[in-house]
Amino acid sequence: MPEPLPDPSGRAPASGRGTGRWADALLAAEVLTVGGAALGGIHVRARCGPVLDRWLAALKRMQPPGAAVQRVAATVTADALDGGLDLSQTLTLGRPVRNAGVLARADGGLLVLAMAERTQATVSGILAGTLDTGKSGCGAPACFTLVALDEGADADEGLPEAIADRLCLRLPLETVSLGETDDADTPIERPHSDIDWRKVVVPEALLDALVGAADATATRSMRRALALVRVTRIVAALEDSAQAEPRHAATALRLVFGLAPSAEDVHDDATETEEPSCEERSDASDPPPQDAAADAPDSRDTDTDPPEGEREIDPAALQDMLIAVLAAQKLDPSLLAIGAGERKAGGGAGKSGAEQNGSQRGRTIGVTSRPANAALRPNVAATLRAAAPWQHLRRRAHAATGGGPSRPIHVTPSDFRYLRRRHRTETTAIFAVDASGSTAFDRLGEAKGAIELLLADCYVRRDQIALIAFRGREAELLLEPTRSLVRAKRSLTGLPGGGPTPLADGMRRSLELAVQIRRKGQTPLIVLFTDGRGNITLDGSADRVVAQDEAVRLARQGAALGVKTLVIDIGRRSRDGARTLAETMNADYRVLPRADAAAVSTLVSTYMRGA
Amino acid sequence: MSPPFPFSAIVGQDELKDALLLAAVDPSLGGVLVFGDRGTGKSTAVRALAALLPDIKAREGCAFNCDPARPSDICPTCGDAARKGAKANRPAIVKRRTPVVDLPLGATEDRVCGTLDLEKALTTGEKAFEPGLLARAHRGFLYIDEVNLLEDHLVDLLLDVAASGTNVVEREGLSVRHPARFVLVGSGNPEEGELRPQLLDRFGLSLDVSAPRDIQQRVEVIRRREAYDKNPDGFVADWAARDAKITARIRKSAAMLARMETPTPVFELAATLCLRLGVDGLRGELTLIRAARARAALAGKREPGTADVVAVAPMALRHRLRRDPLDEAGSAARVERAVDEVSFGVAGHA
Repeated sequence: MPEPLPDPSGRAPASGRGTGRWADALLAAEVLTVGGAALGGIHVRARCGPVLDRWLAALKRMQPPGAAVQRVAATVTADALDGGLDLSQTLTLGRPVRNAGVLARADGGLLVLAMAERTQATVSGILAGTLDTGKSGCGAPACFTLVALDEGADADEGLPEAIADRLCLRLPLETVSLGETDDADTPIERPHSDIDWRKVVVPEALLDALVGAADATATRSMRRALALVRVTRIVAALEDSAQAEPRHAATALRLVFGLAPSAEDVHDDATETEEPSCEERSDASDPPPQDAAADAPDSRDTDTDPPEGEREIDPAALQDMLIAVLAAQKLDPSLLAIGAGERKAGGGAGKSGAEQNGSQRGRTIGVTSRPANAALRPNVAATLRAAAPWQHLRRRAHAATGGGPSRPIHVTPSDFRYLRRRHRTETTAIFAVDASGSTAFDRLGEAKGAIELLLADCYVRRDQIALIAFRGREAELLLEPTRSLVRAKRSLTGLPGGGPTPLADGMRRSLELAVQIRRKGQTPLIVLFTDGRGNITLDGSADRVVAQDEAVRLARQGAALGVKTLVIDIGRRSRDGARTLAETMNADYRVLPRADAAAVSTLVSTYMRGA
Repeated sequence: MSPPFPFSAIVGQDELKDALLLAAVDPSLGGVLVFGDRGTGKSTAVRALAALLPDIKAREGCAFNCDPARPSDICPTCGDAARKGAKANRPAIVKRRTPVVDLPLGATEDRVCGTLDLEKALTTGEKAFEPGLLARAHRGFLYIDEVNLLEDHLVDLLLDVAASGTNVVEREGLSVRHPARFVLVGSGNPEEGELRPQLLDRFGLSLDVSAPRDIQQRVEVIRRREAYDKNPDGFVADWAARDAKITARIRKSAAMLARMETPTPVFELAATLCLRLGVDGLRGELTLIRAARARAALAGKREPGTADVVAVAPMALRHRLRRDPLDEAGSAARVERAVDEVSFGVAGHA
């Protein structure tokens, strides 16, 4: 047996390479190679860079020779995915020439989806359907493993759930430093196993535990549980073990949920005999192994003894382990700094403007001879109409040059005409609400009412709403951009109010969110409910002067970003605070001391239509 | 390509399975809308249904799925032109699977409703119509995953065709109309956005699904899926008998439906319920009664009873209630409340 791994005992690939995050990444690549299309694919969170390149190279080296590797950007068009008639070839050759779509060409290999965080609903719908059925839109076989490279900068931005849910593996490569990838230069061969992973036995209790563990996470999707079981099998098969064991399950948990190996895991892998002491056993169905295990847990030979695999673990213990690791992961969603966002926003803004007219979707607004983008297909009727006047001349020219058999119609690429389309870009209204002080309750009530009224109307225009409330020490994003009334109601119930006013932080969060929204190609609109008097600084200390200073600075930044803003003055007696702020921010200013939900809703609605 | 997961092997999700069977028995019900979280078996159930629907008859090579008894005029295989030709040359009538067509979110208008045949136009200069997805779905099912994310102009198009049963194409110098009667099945996740009320209303039945809560049930789901993955053909063969039974039941029920009488109390109950809930229009009542009849047929009963109406009321009505942003209870709960009140009243008077 060609053993690719430099491990003398022939045991876990992970332990053979060490137990770091890079080893896990390589293990994920192996699991992916073995599982193939049955796993759907892998969701890699990483920025472009040498770490990602090395990982991809390793993955490619593991693929069987001749396997297709297709790379597309998430901005790919539906036509390119599914394939179709190659127009210029068809015209030149005078017979239909089809080009296979990217999906069909990736059949039996890898499909690398770059910039996956930019995937549009359309593309994600097509990909999800293909992952489900193994067939592309036009019925060609398309069984591939999707490698989604998600460069999302923060927790709010990422691969669409429709795809992410269908990919069994997660890999957070962003946390791996280049130094950790040292052994990437060692040759990596194709993972090999004598055992068919589908035939690996998963003991009942372990199955229960795995399903329970998947349940304990936030998602209720059955696909997570399925992924866990499949990956457990593959991990076991890679170790040439015919039966899945708890440690395989623990590895699978890491790979499926994209968790970093904890200190405990490392310990487990290194000293196998310690394992029984940290995992409780449940009452097993067959008493002998249980008794043996209970009598002398530490004396058992973990490497050779077949009943080893029958040792059970308590579902609760596995779940606890998962929850512990999940909780440890919660800490890092790094917030994007305004400075970094500014640069990107410039590019994003231009793109969103261009998208409005050069769209491939939406209503037709005319015909042009120049396509707005390379992927646009010519419109046949318009093309033929353009070609019609030339037919006589061309036929003569064709006959004169003796260019082959006569054709009924002569069309050249210069005749191509394209439809111009326009579709509305979506607007997202960000409500930033001052929830401090005595007016908090009323204000929040109004904002909530306005949001619900707006959302009840939003499905018509496909607009979205977000809510940020600021009170106490900092601002909080209470409602992520959504057009779902269901979701809004869920997050808006039981909203607290009162305390001092961290106006600057509220503005900062709003601007950050606006930048994010812009990057998605949508138009943000900030609706700021405030009296313009903040008294908490960005770092959470109470200093009115500094706080005001920061607010003014952020207002200038807002003006520089050019985000459309509406300041609603909610002060009981209108003072200059909010007005000055609005002027600095280049924002529109309204005084609504007794705003009711309906009035706010109407006002914002007008702005959203205009935005 | 492995066969789809067997319908009868789907664990739980009884409401979903019932609704799909009702729609299969009575295609005039107007389709099924399934809302729910990801990974709850929505797509699996719809794709499984495709495998067990009874076959339909059509002429060989017909791209429009024409009913041989009532062919569409523009169909080159069975239409007028072919009929005038020699009888012997007409293609034979064959059985084919009931079509279940996926409508991908990114589909272009051309692809959905059909367009000028590019190939023929460019190579031979002939003006021919290339049927789209709507023609392919005729007499079958049209499935839209993530229906709430569907482009507005496609929604408009679907609304029109679903209402009239005819696809009218007036574009690129073509003027074509062909029948397109299909059962619309949509699925989606409500957290990603709402559906336009106009489209919502076109769906006959609507339901919310969630993954099973019971751990044993969840384990069973995984176990069956694993067995299926290991040996798809063997697994499907194991369940084939049960699937065949459902197929037979659908066929028998559809035949029974044609001669089914509907007793007056059923009409009265349906009307009372709709009045009580303030459902706009008559579509609600119509769907309610049709669904009750389909349910009775599936159960092998000769005529529907009030119990059938009560059983289908939530799925037939919940998406037709007026939206009330301030009512925290789900609309299903409101329907059930009304059913309780009304059916108690009916029973009391009887």
